[in-house]
Amino acid sequence: MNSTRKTLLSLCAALLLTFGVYACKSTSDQSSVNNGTQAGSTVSQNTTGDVNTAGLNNSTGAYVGGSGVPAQADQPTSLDASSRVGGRENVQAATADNSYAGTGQTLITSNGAKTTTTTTYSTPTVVTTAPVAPNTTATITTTTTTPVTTAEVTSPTVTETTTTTTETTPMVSSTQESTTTTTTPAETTTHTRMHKD
Amino acid sequence: MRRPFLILIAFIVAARVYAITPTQYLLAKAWPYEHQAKLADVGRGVGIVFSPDLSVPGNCRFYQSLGFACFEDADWDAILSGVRTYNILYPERAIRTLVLETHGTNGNGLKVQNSYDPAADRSYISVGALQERVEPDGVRYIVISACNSRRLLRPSIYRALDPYNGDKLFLPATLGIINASDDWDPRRSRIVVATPAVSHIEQTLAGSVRELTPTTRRALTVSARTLGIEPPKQFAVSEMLMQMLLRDPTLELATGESIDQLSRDQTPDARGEKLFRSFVKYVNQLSWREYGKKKVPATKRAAKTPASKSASARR
Repeated sequence: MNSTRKTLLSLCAALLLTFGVYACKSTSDQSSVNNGTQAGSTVSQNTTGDVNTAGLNNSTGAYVGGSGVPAQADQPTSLDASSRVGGRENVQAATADNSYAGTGQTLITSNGAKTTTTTTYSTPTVVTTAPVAPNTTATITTTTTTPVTTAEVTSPTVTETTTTTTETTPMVSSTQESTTTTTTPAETTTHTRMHKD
Repeated sequence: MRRPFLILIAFIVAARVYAITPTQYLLAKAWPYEHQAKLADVGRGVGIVFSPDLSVPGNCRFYQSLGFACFEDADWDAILSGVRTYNILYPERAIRTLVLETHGTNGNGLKVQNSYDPAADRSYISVGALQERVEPDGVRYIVISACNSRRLLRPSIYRALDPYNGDKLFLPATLGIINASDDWDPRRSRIVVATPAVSHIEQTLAGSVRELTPTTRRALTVSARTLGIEPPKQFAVSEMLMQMLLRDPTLELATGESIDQLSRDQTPDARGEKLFRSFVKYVNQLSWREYGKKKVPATKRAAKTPASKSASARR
């Protein structure tokens, strides 16, 4: 009887443990927000909770100078990841970027007349200034490549080399002195040669 | 019994001594040797075609002073027009033999060019097209002094060149390629095409007129003035041209036989220098024979000098 109780208690404990682990796992699988940040990009967060997204490449490719407020855990997010294993993550649809329409549009009518429209754009003013984290160190690496030019110069000009070797034997006594001079003329080419190929 | 045997041996030896090689025979026909030729008549009946990059400034004036017809251009059309015009204007000195001092492009086409710059003026011609174009002008012999010239006679490119031969020396034909017409038959051509029997890379040497004797320089000046041109100062001469002029026994010419093998052989520098010395000596001898003998005797000079002095003093 006592052993049966122990067995039941063990089974209950095992079941509780199993459910507990499952419950913990479900809680940790929270949905993550895909803000379009590319892999490798850094998002710094300061003490105020502002996120500096300056310089990040958003979906429109335009420079965004502001910072956003991080999403709170209790706030509903527009994007949520699928809790299913192997499920496809939802991707935020990019809104059309109509802020830049280009400059210097030329309209050519059927009669050949041209109408040129010039639109001047000014740099948009950044309302919210991104807080710059202190101790930010910008490292600029400049690589300079110097082109290497190898010039092969073939000079068929007249060359005449004369090697003069002078050997002087140190004087041993006032009567012994010998000097030997050897001149070796190199083989010379006296005319410029042109090859027919 | 012994006497006939000796006579037979003597006959064989004599026959070998006086035998004429095919090259000598060809040269005798293409460029007849005149023992008493004057300096200004050495090149009579012979036209030389230079690729501009194988020449030196004023080079043609040197050859014109020696009696040659000389053409230097990167356009084969201009050269061929020049040959035609020359033979029309000077029928007494008409070109019968054409010597080509041009590139052979490793045996892929006769090339004349200003330089190796890909954009430089440059044109090509096939051997068949050259025969077709100059035969009506009276040319009968073409001597090709170019690199691997026997490869130019290959049947595959004899009439029309292959511009896609893959040879890196076959640079862009900025001034075009001249091929023979479709109805041209090489068997009907009367022109004899001669090339060096041994294919190799031909060389040209550049020399100065100052290397010649004062008598020769004076003879060249007289000849140039007669033609109405400025006396030359320098010249370029190929080893093959010197061999032909000097009737070098080592020169071997072949006609009408093509080969496929490409040769990278070059003649040693010493050979070219030796030929050049012989060439200078030959030209000097010609001028001395013409002008050296006409020197005023020393006695006459001595007699004339006081008179001239007195004449000037009287003035």
